[in-house]
Amino acid sequence: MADEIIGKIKRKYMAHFIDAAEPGATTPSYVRLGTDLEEYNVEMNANVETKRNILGDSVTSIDGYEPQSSVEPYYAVAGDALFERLQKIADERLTLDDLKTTVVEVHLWEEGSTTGTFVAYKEDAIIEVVSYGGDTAGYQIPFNLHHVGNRVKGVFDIATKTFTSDSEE
Amino acid sequence: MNIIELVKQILTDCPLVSDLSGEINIDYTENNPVSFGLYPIGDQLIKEDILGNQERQHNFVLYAVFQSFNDYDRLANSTFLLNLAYYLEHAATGQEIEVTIDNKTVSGKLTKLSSANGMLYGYQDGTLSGPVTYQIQIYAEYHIESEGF
Repeated sequence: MADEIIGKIKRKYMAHFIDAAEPGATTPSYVRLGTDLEEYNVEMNANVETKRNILGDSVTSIDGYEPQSSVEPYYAVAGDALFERLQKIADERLTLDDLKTTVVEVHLWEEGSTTGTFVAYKEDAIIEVVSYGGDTAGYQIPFNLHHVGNRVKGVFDIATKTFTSDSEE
Repeated sequence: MNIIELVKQILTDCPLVSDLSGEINIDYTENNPVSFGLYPIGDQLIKEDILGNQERQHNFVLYAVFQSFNDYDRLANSTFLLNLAYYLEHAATGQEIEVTIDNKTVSGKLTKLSSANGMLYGYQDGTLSGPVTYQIQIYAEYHIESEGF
């Protein structure tokens, strides 16, 4: 990265990648999300439990998260690896393990130990194709990503689009 | 080539225009028919995605000075505007442009051309039988790539 990030961080420096390779592929094929998305949020969906004890005080605890994000709109681009994965899910009505993938969140404001790498978190996820079709603006396949855990910290090489966990370094 | 140069080029290459006149002026029209003047009237950001890519729109007014002796002429003039509107709808084919912001040049492409309000705009000599000016507003939508990341 050429410039040091100071102050308010631009949205583009929080990068979201999804592995577009088929489940079982030997090497992942990470594709960056964000084209045509004016907004993209990972909703944490915390499991919040509030109890009131015998003293009348309320106690709130969070015992987990069910993170989920929505990629809408997603315009299909011929030849794009992610489009082909999504189209296959829609065409063949894939379920269960065929929907597995991984997502990587890359902190582009936080450089890793080697040049061109950045702090990143990888997590398993499930692809849910919501619908396909759309209006005359183009063929759309909006989809949801359900983060299912196995979150690992590491670094992401932005040039080769490869993730290396801290335990592998 | 920036968006203004590109739209001027597309209009110059349009057979409807080139059959009548060899050139498109910028911010200028001659008094005698046939003359075309392309007037850029501003640029606006339509939307920006989270990667920093922008969809922008540049607006133009094309003024055309035609003759207007009789209804036949005026029908031909209005038909010209109608045919030009149809032509523009299919003229955007991803032509590349360059955008320079803060001395950084980024690439972009034309995504859509559309038009509106094609109509008689005014008389030259205070009479409908002299040269008259028609206008058509042209909207050029284009996409520019985020620099870096």
